[in-house]
Amino acid sequence: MKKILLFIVSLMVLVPNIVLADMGAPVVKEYEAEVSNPDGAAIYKYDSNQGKYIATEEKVAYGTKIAVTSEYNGLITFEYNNDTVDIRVEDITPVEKTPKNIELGEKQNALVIRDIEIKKGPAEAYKTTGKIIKGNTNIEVRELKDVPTAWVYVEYNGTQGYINSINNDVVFESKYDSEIMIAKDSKILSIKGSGINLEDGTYKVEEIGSIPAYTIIKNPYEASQWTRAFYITYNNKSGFVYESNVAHKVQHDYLTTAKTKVYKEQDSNSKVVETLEKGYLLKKPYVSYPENCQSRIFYESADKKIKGWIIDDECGESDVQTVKVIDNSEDNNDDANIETTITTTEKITKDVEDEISDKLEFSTKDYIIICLAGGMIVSLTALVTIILVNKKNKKSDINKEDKKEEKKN
Amino acid sequence: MRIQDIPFVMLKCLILTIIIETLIALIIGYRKKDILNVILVNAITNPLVTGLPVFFNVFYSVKTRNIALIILEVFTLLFEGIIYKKYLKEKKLNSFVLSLILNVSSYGLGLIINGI
Repeated sequence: MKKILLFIVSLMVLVPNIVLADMGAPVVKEYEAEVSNPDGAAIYKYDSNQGKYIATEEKVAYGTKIAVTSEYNGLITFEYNNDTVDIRVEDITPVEKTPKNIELGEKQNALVIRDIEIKKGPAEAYKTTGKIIKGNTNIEVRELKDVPTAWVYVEYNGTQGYINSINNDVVFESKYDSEIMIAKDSKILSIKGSGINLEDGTYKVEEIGSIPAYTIIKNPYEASQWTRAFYITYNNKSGFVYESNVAHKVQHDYLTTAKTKVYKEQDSNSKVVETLEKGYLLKKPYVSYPENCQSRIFYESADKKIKGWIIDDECGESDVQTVKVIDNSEDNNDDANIETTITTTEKITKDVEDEISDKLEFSTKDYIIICLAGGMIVSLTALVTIILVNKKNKKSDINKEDKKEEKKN
Repeated sequence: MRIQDIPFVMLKCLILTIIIETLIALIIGYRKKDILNVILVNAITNPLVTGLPVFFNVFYSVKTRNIALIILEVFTLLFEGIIYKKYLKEKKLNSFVLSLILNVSSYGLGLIINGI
């Protein structure tokens, strides 16, 4: 009876918690991955009350193959059971350790402003293969062709891989602006984070300095596409200035078609500082684009004493538009050429893969077998120890008893 | 849990189990060499009970893992009972009852600790 009870009670002992429970975003070049967490991957849903993603009870099973299309803030997104779901990037492993056949664009210089990791592939799920320390200007990057992703290809100190520009840890030499002008007194900012979701606390902006209006900056760097800003250095302060505060040196002229007012600020309510006659030629001026459809064309008098802005509202009434573009530029950098596609392509070769070296890595299953083998060694050692210890104890007990008997005798 | 955490989780489970069961055994009244046997018997069974279910989960399925776990738990109770019967000097309790008490205590306290 006792034994039956014991058996029933023992059957009622449930599975112990062996493992501790812990136990759209920006597009990536779509890649295949599988869920590598043995407990499965918890599905995360956005909770509008808490303003963040929360893990749900639902899980994607271990070993499930998925096609990842985007990632943001530690979560990846994919289609699952006719729904778009998010799981943690730590819960997956890419099927290809190093992706192949990624087409790349033209080379571009970049500046690393914060330490940044180099990954084997253009997504967070790939393994880290190196690091670039901040301050490095000597890096060449290449965009991924036809994929609007923040990841760029890099070669650094013999390491090839990808870095993520989304958090503005790396900025790029501007392709279109060889020089810019600060359009109004502006703050120089330290910007961390992507600016994709300003409410999730990952976007941090700090003022670190200021720069006066009309300052010319040559060869500025650009932030990632999600942070519309330029990275500049002024008075030993390096930081970001928002694009809306910047005027670009255009490669075409403007001609006034009627009497045209020049305003002190980029605002038609501000003071008029000059009136230009019809037929006045503005040669390759600086132009600012603070809002859609609006251009603010910079005017400076010959003696540089008068500075101001012509307001050109391209989407407004025609009588506001008193300047027209004279496209006499011989430069190749005008708008029509900016969108020229880059045709150079490059593939990562097997030799490079070998250099990066996967040889020492174990697969998930190998790792588990090794852990289990370690556990069995511990068990066997303990088993041998318990037998030997108790054998020794038995002998000493027998000796003690023999001595007691001898004493009695 | 990540794959690379498995050894640490196994070690943590073993240490916690040993601590809890040793304390319970001391409370019951076992001493010295009997305590050593309690420690050693857990070192035999605990790595298998923590490692094998992960193995079954990864190589087979969650269902297989759950079945394996139940079988392992029963085996652990019986095995530890046999060891206690054979090696414990003090016979304060039936060895299988002792095994049951120690394992239920370590499991229950483990749940509480994980809950924290």
